[in-house]
Amino acid sequence: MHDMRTILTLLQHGDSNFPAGGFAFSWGVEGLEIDGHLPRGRAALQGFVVDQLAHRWDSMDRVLLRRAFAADIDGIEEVDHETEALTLSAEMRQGSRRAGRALIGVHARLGGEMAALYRARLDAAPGHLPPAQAIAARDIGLDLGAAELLAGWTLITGLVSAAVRLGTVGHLDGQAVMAEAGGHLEHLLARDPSDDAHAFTPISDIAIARAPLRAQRMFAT
Amino acid sequence: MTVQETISGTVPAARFGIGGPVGSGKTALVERLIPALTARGVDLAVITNDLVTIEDAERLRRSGLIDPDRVSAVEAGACPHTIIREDPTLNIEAADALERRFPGVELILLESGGDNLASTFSLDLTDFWIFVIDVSGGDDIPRKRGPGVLKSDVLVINKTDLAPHVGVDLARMEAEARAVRGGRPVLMTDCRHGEGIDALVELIETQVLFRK
Ligand SMILES: Nc1nc2c(ncn2[C@@H]2O[C@H](COP(=O)(O)OP(=O)(O)O)[C@@H](O)[C@H]2O)c(=O)[nH]1
Ligand SMILES: [Mg+2]
Repeated sequence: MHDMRTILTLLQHGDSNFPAGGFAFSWGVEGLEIDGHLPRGRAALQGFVVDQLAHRWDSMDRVLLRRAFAADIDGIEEVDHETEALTLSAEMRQGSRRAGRALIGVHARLGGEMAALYRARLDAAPGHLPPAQAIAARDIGLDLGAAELLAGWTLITGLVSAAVRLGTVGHLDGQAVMAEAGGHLEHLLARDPSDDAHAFTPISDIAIARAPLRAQRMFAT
Repeated sequence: MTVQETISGTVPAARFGIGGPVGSGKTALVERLIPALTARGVDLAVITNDLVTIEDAERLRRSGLIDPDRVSAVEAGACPHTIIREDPTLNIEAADALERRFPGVELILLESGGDNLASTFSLDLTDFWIFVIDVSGGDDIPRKRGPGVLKSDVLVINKTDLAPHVGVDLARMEAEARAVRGGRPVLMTDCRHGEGIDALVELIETQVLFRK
């Protein structure tokens, strides 16, 4: 399916060690845990991860990523502004911008041409994660399918690793959730998503939006 | 031109890391350094990596010592180590953002969230970094030779005022620290009373800002 070069690139960039700041984002896991909506154990986390994959990533982030992947640099900026407009909660917008800018920043430093070009636009452009992922994928020579796989996988590892650090699952259950969620991702990637970007993950959106009210907070989202 | 230079269009600010265990006095040191450096005309900004809150950032913002907009907080995702070493990207982004917002900023102090003796800063994150331990943590800390103690550009031993209360022989602790560091700088400070700060400021001016 993918050639050896692509697989190696995916292993490098899909590794949680890839330094794009991903470990500091829990995308709602921290908030849900604090608010008592993410009970301990594998089942709850699995449900959450699969829900995020299907009802946020596949229906929204993936659609925006695909659009940015096919666009020129002006088109990418349009997608970026559209992402801003489509993301309801201010906290979520801020998180997506920080994660996206970090990704663009590290790729620019690693010599990515498109990342460097887009970085110069970040005063006006928000720098959201899905268009940033498209830019990064193009700079490292991935095709669309590999770019989507990388983005989906990064979400799974990010959520699970935040959950492990927050103690809602142990390291072994974390791996089980990753394997299971990987299967869902495979299934989602087997068909094209809808053209119109939309998300429906109200509980995690609320958990993220409540972050400023919490005294304790270790993650950026 | 480096990426950093293209961002601000000027010489990039020196990035100065402050590591060390939780409670050793890193924030207290920053609170001493800000007025001392400002008095010498250094254009400053600060980044904090609070562990579980943004308390350090808020403490500095409310201190009246510095324009609150010049203090950025970066969440460490429960990994105070990672954010300064394996994946310092969010700190680098925060520093770049401060440079964009405050052109001409010369020095960015980056306070780590606090960690154990094994923490070090990525060479790609800071130009210079110090490690702050304190007397009350025990006089055997230097002997344990953690990477923070050994590899930092300067080792600061803080809370010298507490030595008599915790039964620490200061002279011996300092001598052992110097011995394990092979002659590289060791400074003794008392942030409570502002002792020893001048020596550090002097060192920053000569070795970090290259002013003299
Ligand atoms: N007696 C004494 N207390 C200090 C000194 N430096 C810091 N402290 C106190 O030690 C505690 C921890 O200091 P802080 O700066 O928050 O440590 P950090 O976690 O390393 O940032 C606070 O209660 C400070 O007031 C010092 O030199 N002497
Ligand atoms: Mg502190």
